[in-house]
Amino acid sequence: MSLTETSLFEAVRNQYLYKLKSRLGLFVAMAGTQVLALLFSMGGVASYGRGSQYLHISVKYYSSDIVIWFTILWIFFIAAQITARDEQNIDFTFVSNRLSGNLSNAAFLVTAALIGGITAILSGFLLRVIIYFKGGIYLSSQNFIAAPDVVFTGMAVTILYLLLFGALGYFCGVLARLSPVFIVLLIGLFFFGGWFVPRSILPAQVIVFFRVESSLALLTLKVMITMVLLYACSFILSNRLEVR
Amino acid sequence: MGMAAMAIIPLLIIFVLVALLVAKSSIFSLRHNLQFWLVTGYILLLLAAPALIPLLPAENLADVKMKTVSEMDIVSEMAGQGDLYTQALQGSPEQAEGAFVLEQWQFPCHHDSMIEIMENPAYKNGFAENSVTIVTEKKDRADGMIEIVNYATRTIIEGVDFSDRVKPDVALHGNVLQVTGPQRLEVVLGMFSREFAAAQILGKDTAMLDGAKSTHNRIVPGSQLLYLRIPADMEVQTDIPIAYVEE
Repeated sequence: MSLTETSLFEAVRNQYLYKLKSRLGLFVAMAGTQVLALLFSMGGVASYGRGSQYLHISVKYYSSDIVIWFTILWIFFIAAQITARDEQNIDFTFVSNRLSGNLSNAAFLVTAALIGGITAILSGFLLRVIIYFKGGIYLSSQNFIAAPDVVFTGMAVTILYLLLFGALGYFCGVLARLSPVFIVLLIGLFFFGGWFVPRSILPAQVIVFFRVESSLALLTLKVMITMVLLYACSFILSNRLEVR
Repeated sequence: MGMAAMAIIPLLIIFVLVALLVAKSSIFSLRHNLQFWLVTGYILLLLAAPALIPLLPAENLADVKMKTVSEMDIVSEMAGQGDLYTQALQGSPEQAEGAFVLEQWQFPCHHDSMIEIMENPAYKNGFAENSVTIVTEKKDRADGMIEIVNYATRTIIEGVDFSDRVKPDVALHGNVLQVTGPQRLEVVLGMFSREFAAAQILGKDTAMLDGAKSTHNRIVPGSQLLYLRIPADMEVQTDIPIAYVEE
């Protein structure tokens, strides 16, 4: 019998720090994903063309939208991945229980969201430098130096979306571990849900629920509540998984 | 102040990260790990980018090194489109809305009573250069001088004036006046827009509002014509369509 009791906070902290070090490869994957998205962004995220007798104009718009979307996909997939059996076995090397394991995973995903959100927006600056030196086009000074409020607002909203999709990915991962049938159901709901379920709960409509929000405070509230609910459901469902 | 903050904050963060790297701390015992260095190097690169941007020469940006046009002038130029040719036919192209002189030539021709105007069929990549509208006026005196003025209205793209990039050329060889139309100008204009994440809270850029409709209003194609003033005793021979000033 142990002479010292480990508090939940200490157990979570130890597991969190270990997972942060052991899962560094996931952040390498994040960097690779964002670099790939930057390459796609070099062609512009939108364009417009027009011609006349003496003139042919092509206007290209650049931003780090593609990097943000790729980062969202990244956190969704790593969140689902860390629910895999091999990843969960890490928890058994510590004095822990399912709750501390899940909490440390959630803490890891929150850290990943913070790092992903900051790097995704900062990649917009790297894109500006690349386009500046790439040459071959007339580059407008509009938004070339981004205003601080635009940068920090972009970071905040991106982090919120990453938190949301991280929680969603974790929930989907837990469902998939419970039964492979859920994988088929989730894919079917995403692609063909419109045929079977009310429109109001389709994934696209759920995303609109967050996308139409123009108040940062209300968006934060929506995301936090959704995130807590998703993690709570994940924690409860994961208790139904078999013990080692 | 904002620019200074955007440059200084990343440098401070880099300094703190480097200081932590050399400090003895359990989490940074990773520093011999290749993955750690890859991630750290990438983050340092991203932090250096906003510090570098204010240092880049602004003179290389289109609306800094070229003339820009105000929104009011763009509206005015749009309203005046089509007026140049009409005014030229009446012998007063300088009175057209927004018209200005791009270039002018004078050629003495004391011994010639006939001039042949030819269009130079310059080919570029298999396509003929664009022709240019020519309006001719006979002077009321035989002064032996051919005067050619290139009138134009402004060519504006996203607030940047490209007028001096669209120019015809004229050369007199004996009694043959060779006109070369302006090379078709191919412009690729790059602009940075707000990320959707920031636009959701702060609203879209003014330039991105209404999408193509906004861009349509900020592109003015501009027009060109060559106004020829020939001596009273000279006749013009040509196969290309030429307009004459109405008597």
